[in-house]
Amino acid sequence: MNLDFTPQQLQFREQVRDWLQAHKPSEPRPEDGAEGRAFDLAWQKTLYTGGWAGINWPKAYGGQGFDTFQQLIFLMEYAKSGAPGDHYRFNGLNLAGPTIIACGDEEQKKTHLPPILKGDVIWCQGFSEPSAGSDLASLKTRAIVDGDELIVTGSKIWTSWARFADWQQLLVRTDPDAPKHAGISWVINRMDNPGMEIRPIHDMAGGSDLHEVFYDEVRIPLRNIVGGINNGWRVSMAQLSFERGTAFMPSQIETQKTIEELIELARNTRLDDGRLAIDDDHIAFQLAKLRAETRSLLAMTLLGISRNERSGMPGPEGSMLKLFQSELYKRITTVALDIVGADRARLSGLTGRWPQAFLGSFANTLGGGTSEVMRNIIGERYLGLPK
Amino acid sequence: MDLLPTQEQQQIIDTAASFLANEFPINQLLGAPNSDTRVSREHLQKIAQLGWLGIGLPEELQGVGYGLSEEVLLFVELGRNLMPPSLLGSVLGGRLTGLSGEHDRMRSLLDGDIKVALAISLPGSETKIGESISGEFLIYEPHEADLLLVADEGGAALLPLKSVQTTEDDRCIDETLGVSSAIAKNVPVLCYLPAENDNLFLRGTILVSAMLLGIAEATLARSVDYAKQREQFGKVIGSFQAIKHYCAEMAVRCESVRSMLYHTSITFQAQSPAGVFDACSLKALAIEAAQYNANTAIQIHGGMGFTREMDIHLFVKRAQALGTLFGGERYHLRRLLCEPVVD
Repeated sequence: MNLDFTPQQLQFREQVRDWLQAHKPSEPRPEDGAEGRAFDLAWQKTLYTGGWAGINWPKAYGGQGFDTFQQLIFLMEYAKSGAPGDHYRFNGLNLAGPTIIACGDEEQKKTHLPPILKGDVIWCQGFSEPSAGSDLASLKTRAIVDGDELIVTGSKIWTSWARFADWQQLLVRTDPDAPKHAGISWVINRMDNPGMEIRPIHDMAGGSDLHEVFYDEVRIPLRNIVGGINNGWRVSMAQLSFERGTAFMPSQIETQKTIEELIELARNTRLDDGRLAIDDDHIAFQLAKLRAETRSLLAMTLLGISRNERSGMPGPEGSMLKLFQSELYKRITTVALDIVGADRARLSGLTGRWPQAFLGSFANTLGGGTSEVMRNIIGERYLGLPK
Repeated sequence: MDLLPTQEQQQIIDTAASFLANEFPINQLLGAPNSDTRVSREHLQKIAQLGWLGIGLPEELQGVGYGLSEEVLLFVELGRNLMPPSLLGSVLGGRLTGLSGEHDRMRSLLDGDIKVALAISLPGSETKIGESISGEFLIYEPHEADLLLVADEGGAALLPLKSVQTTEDDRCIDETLGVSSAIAKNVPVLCYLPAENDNLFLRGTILVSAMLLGIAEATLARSVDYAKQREQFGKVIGSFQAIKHYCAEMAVRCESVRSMLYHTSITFQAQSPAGVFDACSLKALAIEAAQYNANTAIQIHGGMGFTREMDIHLFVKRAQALGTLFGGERYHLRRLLCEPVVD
């Protein structure tokens, strides 16, 4: 049981710190989608040129091949430095790229991996469907083999940043007669493919990063199937093999920043009765509790990484962290509303970020698996309770 | 960086778990009047022979020479087996006397020849703890105890139980523990250790948190076992999401507190600025986890959980009692909010 880093690791940390300090963008990321895309790609290019792109990707594919602790240190320093989040780069770097590394053939790797690291392309995901949400394996988007192509017809939903993406990791049903997990294929699809229609979804927090995507006899070359036909379910799990438990580190540090900013806000905000918010017992205890929970999020992340390092397998902590962190974030934004009081009604001004965060927080316990699905996974896979 | 127990540390866990399961099965407590009959003086000496009471004391003080990390691992197992808090009294008493240079008394404490009761300050009491103590106290397990240990943020003191005037026995929410109240007016103590030398109050906070984690884990394990066996509507109840999700919530609390316990044992031992921040966070989380898990376990066990036939109620009660030792949830949350940000 120790929290020590080796002298080499500490030296590495200095190196990361110095580089980020010198190179991180000084201007904030633009809110506009097209400008945001340009910003994300430019930053990815800078990371690539600096030798920091693809920290968990193998060297053979242009990544850095950092060990678990280098990844951990890099991600901690990255988040602390205030460098831009993954945003539109997320899918390519964390999902599609690792999946192609794990299951793609040589041609697919050569074609698709370098552009992700060099900041040339944005990827998105086409998994969920209107009737296949938590029950993802029941997806219906049909793909029929026609010569050396698939003809895809159906629809996808909740695709983040689809209209700003170049490529898509798409799950389709290639065998409707097989058991539901067995008839799915994972394919690479171009977002400008004829027969596709992309419609933004306007969400309750005012954003429109989510989309519906419709496919009307869209043709995809068979060579774009990754990991073999009807093997898509297994392929979609493959990116997990790159996960060392470090994935939660950036959002853990973001959560810590947020709760500390909220405590600071409470020290400077007056309630209706003229007292400072921090002097209200109810608010104070809630803030302290959130601070304690955020602290345990760090400890949980470190324990998860340690476990992973010993067993080489992603453990149950992924689902636990996802559940814990997303529910925690929701509680943080709710307490924020208590602190800003009537100012919660204003989305503009100095305190506007808090009601805005509250509105956005609902996505956290839905996207990437709902809290209910996480509880099922913990109950069934970790505790061994029957389905 | 590796937050998991080493092999040697894992051995401490395994040895403790099997010793306790053999020597002190929890069903001993069903129908037993109080813990004084469960851990007799002979039992205490037997436990002492395992080196447990001096596990975290340096070798130059005749301890085993391990640190706080090993100590917390032992206390999780003690908590899981509903062992009495006076064992914590012995461990802290040994440290207090050792660091105060009272080596003879320390030896008797580490050998289990002396029993140390823990006392807490009663609500509304004007308590003073120093070279002499004053205030109104609640004493856990006063029977057969020789010494009394009291502590606050300023320091910790050890005094003869006889030197305070105790009232008649009260009934404890946890029927396996005796309690009585006591009033002290400028009662001189045997030894007093200011917190700046060694913060026994926060060390106690961390070790009680370990015991609370034991309760959280024990009640989760019992609930999962029961949910896999008990059938209703033609299915085991663990297949129902209402039950499954309770269990998942309990599991997350165990994971959160165990992570924090390990983390805190390191930061506190290293006397890093994060030590106090972590200790206060840990205690608040551990109380919540133990109480949520024990209370939810009753619900999962249904009507049977409400009976004395099953042992779940003992965990519910112990969780409440332990929560009062070394500062409750509100105390530690208030303290936490005053701490500066840590990295």
